[in-house]
Formats: sequence, C-alpha cells, structure tokens
Amino acid sequence: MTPESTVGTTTTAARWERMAALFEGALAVPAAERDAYLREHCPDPKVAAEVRLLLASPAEAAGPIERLMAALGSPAERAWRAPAPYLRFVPQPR
Amino acid sequence: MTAHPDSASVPGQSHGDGEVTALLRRAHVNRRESLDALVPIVYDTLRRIARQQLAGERRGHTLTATALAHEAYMRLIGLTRIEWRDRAHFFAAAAGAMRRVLIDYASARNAHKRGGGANPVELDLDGIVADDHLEDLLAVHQALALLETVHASAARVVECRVFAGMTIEEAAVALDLSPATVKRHWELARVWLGMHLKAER
Repeated sequence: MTPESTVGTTTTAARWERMAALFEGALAVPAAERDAYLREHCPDPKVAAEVRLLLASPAEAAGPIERLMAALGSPAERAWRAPAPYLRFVPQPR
Repeated sequence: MTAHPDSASVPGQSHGDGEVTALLRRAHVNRRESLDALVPIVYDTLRRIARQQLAGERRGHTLTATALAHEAYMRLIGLTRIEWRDRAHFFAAAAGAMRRVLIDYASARNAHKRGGGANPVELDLDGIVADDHLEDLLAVHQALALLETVHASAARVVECRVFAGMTIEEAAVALDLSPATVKRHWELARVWLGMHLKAER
C-alpha cells in the first residue's frame, strides 16, 4: 500500500498526525538509528512501514514547490544560506 | 489622514506608531490573534502596492513576491525601530497575506482563461506569477490547505518559505520555533506536498 492511499482524508487525520510526529522524531536522530527509533516508538508495523517510506522518499529537486519558489523569487538554493536582508541578525539556535 | 492610518497611501510614509506595530507588540502575548488581525492589513497593502507599481511601470519589469512583502514592510513600518522578533512576525503575516493575494489572482485568472463570461482579473499579477505557474500555485495552495488540517506548524513553515522567501533560520524566528524544528517541519512538508501533488497528476 502506498501512502497516497491513506492520506489526506479527515478519517486518517489522526493517523497522519501520528506519522508526522514519528517522521520528525526519526529525522531528529542519526540516520543509522532511525529504524531502532521507529521500533521503539511505533508498535504498529504498518504505520512504521509508512513512516519508513516517507523517510526514504527524497523530495523532488524540481517539484512544484521548487518551481513555485523560483517563480516567486524565493529560490530554495539561496534560502538555505544567505538570510534575506530584512533579517540580518540571526539569533543563536535555542 | 484617513480613517485607517495603516492603509498606507503615501509611499515611504511610516506608520510605525500605528495599529501595525501595536499588533506586533501584542503578538508577544497572543501570537495567533495578533497576527491573524495583521494579515488583512498586509493583504490590502500588498494589493495597493501591486496596483500602483503595475500602473506606473512597464510590463516585464520584475515584481517579485518577496520584493512586494518588503515594500509592504516599508509602507506599514518604515524606518521605525522595532524588535527583530516583531519584524519576523510581520513577515510571517505577510506570507499569509501574499498567499491570499496570489490565490485570489490565480483563481480569477484561471476563471477568465476558461471563459464563461468572467471579467478580466482586477489586479493583474502576471509579473509576479506568470500563467505557466498558475497550476503549481493552485496545486500547492490546495495541498497546503490539507496539510494545515494535520500539521498546521509545517504548513506555516511552507508559507513563510514559499510566499515570503524566508530561510530556515528566518522562519524559526518568525514562527517562534527552533531552526532544527523548522527544518524537520520543512522536510515533512516537502514529502507530504510532493506526495499529494503527485497524486493529483
């Protein structure tokens, strides 16, 4: 089953919230430890499998978001480095 | 002076001691309520600026979404010194307002292109988003609306990044989150949006 078939409807909103939390939790640990993280935090193997699928899906380099960002003058490449002039003082990460 | 001191009609005039800065200060106490109140003000300002620029300039000159947001900042706050955090909050509201301005335009433009007696768009933003990108814009907006229902913070991150050109660090300040959290939200949102946008094709 692909994630497409289970996402986006109100009935699966709670499931998605859970997957989102697991996805972000897994992202916060080193890549090598993500499997162990999911085993520990997600008892449902089906949900864990879907989260693994999400973690393994590289976001397209030139998908609609990137095209839109480029079109709107918000290029993704720049955005990771130089802060926009209106926010020159970047505080230290908390 | 008009009844709405923040509806800047004089270019370059600062309204820093007006409603906008008051809302930004109040955002320290009640973030959502204050910024929600700010969005329509910025929305009106963005439209006004776009209209003036389009009236005064040749077609083909570059009018970008981020430049428009900066211009709105200058109109509504100008050179008044405000806290950097307030500044970031302003641009978070500007991102939401910009999204609305562009979606209004894209919807009207699409309706007009399809015919059916619809009037030409009232505010022509072709310089900001050409017809080639209307579909991307509407698709991202719809997928984002869906994301909002399951992960509102991630949707805000996308809004700030896409519609106000913020970096991860800037979005972190604007949304009162840590940069690490913003980055994870962003990664999640990209995967989510990628999936939903692909599913639509």
